[in-house]
Amino acid sequence: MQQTASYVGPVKLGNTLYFVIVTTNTSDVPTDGDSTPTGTVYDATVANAMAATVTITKIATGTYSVAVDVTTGNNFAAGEGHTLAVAYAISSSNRKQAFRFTVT
Amino acid sequence: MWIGQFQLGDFLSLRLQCETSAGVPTVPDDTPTAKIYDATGTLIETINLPVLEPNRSTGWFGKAHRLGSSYSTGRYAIRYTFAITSTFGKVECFEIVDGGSTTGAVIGMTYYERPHARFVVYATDDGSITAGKNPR
Repeated sequence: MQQTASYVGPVKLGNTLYFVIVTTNTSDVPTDGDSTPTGTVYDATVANAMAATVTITKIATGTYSVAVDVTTGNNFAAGEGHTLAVAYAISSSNRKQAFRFTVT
Repeated sequence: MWIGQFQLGDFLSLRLQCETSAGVPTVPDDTPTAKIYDATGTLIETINLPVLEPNRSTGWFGKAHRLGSSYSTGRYAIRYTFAITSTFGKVECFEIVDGGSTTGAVIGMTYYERPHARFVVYATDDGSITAGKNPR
């Protein structure tokens, strides 16, 4: 099944990108991951993973907040588009969700 | 999931189509809710969503929600939850940018004069009525 990346908005350089994800089981019911999901930011070419830290915190069952410091220190620059991949497993089944954001 | 940028006092359009995991629009077991979290993951509000167009649309809920004094500039996330046998959910995110007012827009105003001063009395979206006087 082909999935498209959800757009989570523009974020001003120097600010923190923030959004929430829901992890679900095969019946679409919000379900905790086997462990806390992990996130990776990719550069504008989507070819290279960036070193930016992605902070993911559980706020409710199957619901996690995702935060990324979009700073020059993390190699972000205004005008770029990026992809953020969040990986997790539910009942040992690996899943991934992709998100897009732009830096302004 | 990105629904845009808003200012304080703006109305957020909360909309939810309740459907089964197979994508079939269905009336949920109970009132759907929208929980709004700030950028620290703190729950700001839980909003019950009333049904919309019950005679024309199945499982369609929504509400115009004013961004009042509980909010400030920054990013927020909305988590919708509803139950059809089991609990389902979806998320959206938005940002509040500079400008606006927690009281909302002026929706009515009147002006009158008295011998000692001129007055303006106005009502805003949040239901408050404020008077201004010149000279103070």
